[in-house]
Amino acid sequence: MRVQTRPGRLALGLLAVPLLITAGCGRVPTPTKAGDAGGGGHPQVDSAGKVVCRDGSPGVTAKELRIGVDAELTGKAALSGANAKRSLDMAVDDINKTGGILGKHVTVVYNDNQSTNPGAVNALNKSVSGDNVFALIGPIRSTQVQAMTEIIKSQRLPTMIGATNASLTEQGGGYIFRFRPPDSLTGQAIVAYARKQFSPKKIAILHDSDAFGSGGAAVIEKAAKDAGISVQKASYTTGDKDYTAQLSSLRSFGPDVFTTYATNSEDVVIFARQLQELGITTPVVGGPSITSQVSFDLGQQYLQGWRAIVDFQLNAGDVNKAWAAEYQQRYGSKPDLFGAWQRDAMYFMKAALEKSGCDRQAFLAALHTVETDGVQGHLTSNKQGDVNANLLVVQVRGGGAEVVEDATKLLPAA
Amino acid sequence: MSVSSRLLERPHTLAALLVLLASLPFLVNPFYLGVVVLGVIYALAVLGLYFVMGLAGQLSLAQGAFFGVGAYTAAILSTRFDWPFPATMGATVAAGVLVGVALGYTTLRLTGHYLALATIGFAVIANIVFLHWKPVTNGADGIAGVKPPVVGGFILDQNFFYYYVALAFLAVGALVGWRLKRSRIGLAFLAIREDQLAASTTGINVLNVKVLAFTLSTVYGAVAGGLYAHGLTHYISPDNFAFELSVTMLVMLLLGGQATVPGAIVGAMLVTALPEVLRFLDRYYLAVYGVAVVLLVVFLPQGLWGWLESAVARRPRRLEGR
Amino acid sequence: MDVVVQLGVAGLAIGMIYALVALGFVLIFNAVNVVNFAQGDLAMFPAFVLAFLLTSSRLPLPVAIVGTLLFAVVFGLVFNRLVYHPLRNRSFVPVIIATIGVSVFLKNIALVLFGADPRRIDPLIHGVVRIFGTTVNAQYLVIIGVTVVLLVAQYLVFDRTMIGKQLQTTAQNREMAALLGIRTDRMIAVTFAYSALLGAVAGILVAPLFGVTPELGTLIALKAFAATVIGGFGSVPGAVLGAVFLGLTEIFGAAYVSSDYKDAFAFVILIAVLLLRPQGFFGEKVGQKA
Repeated sequence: MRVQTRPGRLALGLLAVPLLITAGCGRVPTPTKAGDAGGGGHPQVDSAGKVVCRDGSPGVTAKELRIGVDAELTGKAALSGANAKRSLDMAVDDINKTGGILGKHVTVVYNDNQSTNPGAVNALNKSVSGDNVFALIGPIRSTQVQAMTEIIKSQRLPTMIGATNASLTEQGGGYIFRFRPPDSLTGQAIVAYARKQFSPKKIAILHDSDAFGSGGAAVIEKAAKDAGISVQKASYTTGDKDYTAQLSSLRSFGPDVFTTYATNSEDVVIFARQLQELGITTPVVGGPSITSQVSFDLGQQYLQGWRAIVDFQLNAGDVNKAWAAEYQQRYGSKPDLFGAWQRDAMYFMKAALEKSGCDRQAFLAALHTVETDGVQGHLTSNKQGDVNANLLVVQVRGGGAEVVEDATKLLPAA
Repeated sequence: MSVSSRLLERPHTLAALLVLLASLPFLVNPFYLGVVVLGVIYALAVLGLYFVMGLAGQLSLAQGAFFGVGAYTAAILSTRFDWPFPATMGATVAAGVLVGVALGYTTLRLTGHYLALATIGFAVIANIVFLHWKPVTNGADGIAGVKPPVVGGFILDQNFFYYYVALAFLAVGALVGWRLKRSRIGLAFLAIREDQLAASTTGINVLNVKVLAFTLSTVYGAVAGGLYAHGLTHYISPDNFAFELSVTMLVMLLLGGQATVPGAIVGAMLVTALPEVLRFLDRYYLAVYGVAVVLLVVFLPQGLWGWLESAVARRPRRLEGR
Repeated sequence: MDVVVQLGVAGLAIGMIYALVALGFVLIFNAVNVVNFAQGDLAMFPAFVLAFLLTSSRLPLPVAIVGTLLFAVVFGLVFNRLVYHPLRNRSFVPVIIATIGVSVFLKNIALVLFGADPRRIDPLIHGVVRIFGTTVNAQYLVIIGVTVVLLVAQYLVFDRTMIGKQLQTTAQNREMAALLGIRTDRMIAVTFAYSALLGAVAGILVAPLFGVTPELGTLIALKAFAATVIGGFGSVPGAVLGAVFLGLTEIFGAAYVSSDYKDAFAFVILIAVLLLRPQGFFGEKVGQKA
């Protein structure tokens, strides 16, 4: 029995050794030091005043500029990750074919985040410490961006995201730039358009119970109630595929308009089909997942006449048309919103780099000043890092959607 | 049981393992620092499973949910009520005791698989409550800004420092587990695992002892959850604590070797790091990970630690028969 | 009334899907005393195979279905040989872990092989059917019909044929079965093959409604598992009735109580059953089989 005390003392004693060694060890970070600032904050120019990309910043070598991607390549949101990869592969090939960025070959390093928060953080750490990237294109899911935010800030890593929870850019401390309109805008636009078109007294909301769906639903609910419209919500778990119960209870509420805020397009289609089967003909105004390619592929016949507030509309504008044609040729399918924002983020970064050179601080400053025309419309950052405020009202017709009007005009001026 | 005679169960083995863990931040690529912090935190939760499963032989499938209960307890107290780290960690212990005793006395009266079944139920329900009890848990958006511990004016928010905070908890947890196994309580756990009926005839109060083992597991789980909330990302959301996490923790214990403290720790570190190490396999890495789990179970019947033990001892591998 | 019929039919159909997966759980549990964590993926993966045979190989639907069922049977046999068989003399825990490994493998290999785009499978009968003055999706009725036929066939085989009796004896007492000259290893292989077949039927039936994604089986398996407990763990009729009960409770609960807690109903009932009637509605006392 006496032996019992030994492991304790021994272990604690030995434990103390490396702790003591750390005091003088070079690899130990000091608690106050933040991450790599990556430069002095001035644009890099040569003697002739031309912007150049010098080595020295993370991810910048003599030949190469490395951009990380933290995406949902496996797990629940694997579909959005697959589209991100297609879009970015194409964007990078095109950029490299025309000389790269400031003469550097652009390399994209993908790290799967398994569609989970710890996965997103591991992928981020790998991007920063393992791949040593200059900037990051992050996830489309808000909880994962939330989990990454502290590290992004402490590493001062310029990060482009597609996640739409309104608070993300605000919390990002100047390092997070968003290339999709926040839920606060989309949700308000849904209600604004529904009011204009249908003057409803009652609005029903069906939403995914995840952060995206419940966040959007909360915005819709608030906007509707502010306008004196009564609201009933019903939610479903991601992965649950039978909405008979939710639809029955919403139908008995007697809504004038159905709204949806669904994370996955395949869920939207099932919802649409069941609505039809139950004989519900109430008009629907919903979020962007309604007009994804997956929605059209799986069940366009159920979606006819549906309206959606979207940030991406196929073939809207010349940039978009050219991009869609190339995408179609390369992959044999049409692109959609899952992929559009990453392409825009890549070209937006290119534009900023061509003003700042490869100095991270200067790059962050340039991200606030550049303007580009992307496949999602005109892009320029506001103060907190929201780059995309383009919203359209579209209506499903056949295997695509038609633009009804500019949704931003429906919103009170920001 | 000649437990203490096994070579790798000698005290300095555990001490050596802890020393190895303590020097890990100096050995690994900085990218893996986050992974090893996570591994150490998971190891503490898995040590909890070691009591209830490894020693007492009761299958519990809600360790991820207890982890979540601790994480939410710490996160809420830290962000809403500004409790400092030591106070929130104390609260996670209380939360663990509460859940363990309440769930234990209601379900452990039954024999057989019932604890496993009831804990699955608890795991799923807990996650639904995290997701939908908005006023308290902030729903799907989760809770951000959980404060890191502060020691002597230094904010220990970087992985490097937080690692040692987590490791200190793990070391204490491991020593308690180590000593307990060799105490009368530990013997009572083992007796119940081997034969409940026989155990009760020797005067062991089977229900109380099982509840104790279970409560130890919930406390370890909750404390580890608190550590998770305060470190790494300072952010938690319901999807962190899905049923899959409970399953993964079970895998960790089993692959490590279920009836030893070092086994639980090694298993947790291994399973946390394995997908990261396999990243070079690109799209196939998680499929390979799945196969690796099967192969490890088939070819290392006593877990990684048991295999190490027999390899070191150069003795023919012991059969698992009990 | 319309609403009650629509909810009832949908609840019954979903319950039947749970029942097929629940039966897979129970049969394997009875035969080898192990909970198979890959049971949901045994529904998901064949659904992908069917989608593949239909779209890439362009086989006609009946041929593709037969091909998928054959695949499932072979898969069940391989699963038994490579995963269960090497572990057959060990305690139940390593087997559980191995099935978890298989589950991870199947989800991710499906993603690699078939891609992330959800697959669509057209239903056998399109559109809606009018019954009791209201409309319901025809596929719900197909699900109910096919499952009922399958269950009756299963009952006849188990109860009236030699192989059925051998399977039952093996499940009840393996040593005894071996003494009686039953080749228990073979019976266990048959059980795995049949459980995989049940999973495939569930996957094929549900695919036209839900679409096919790697996560298809996850939630279904969890609910099916709850159903086996509610019905009485280890009981075949219990699993079926528990599943139907669960399908109906869930849908009416979500419609009239709260959709937020739709998934919670199953597990609140599960815990209530464990506390009040631990052997389930139909189970005999399981005792200490483990």
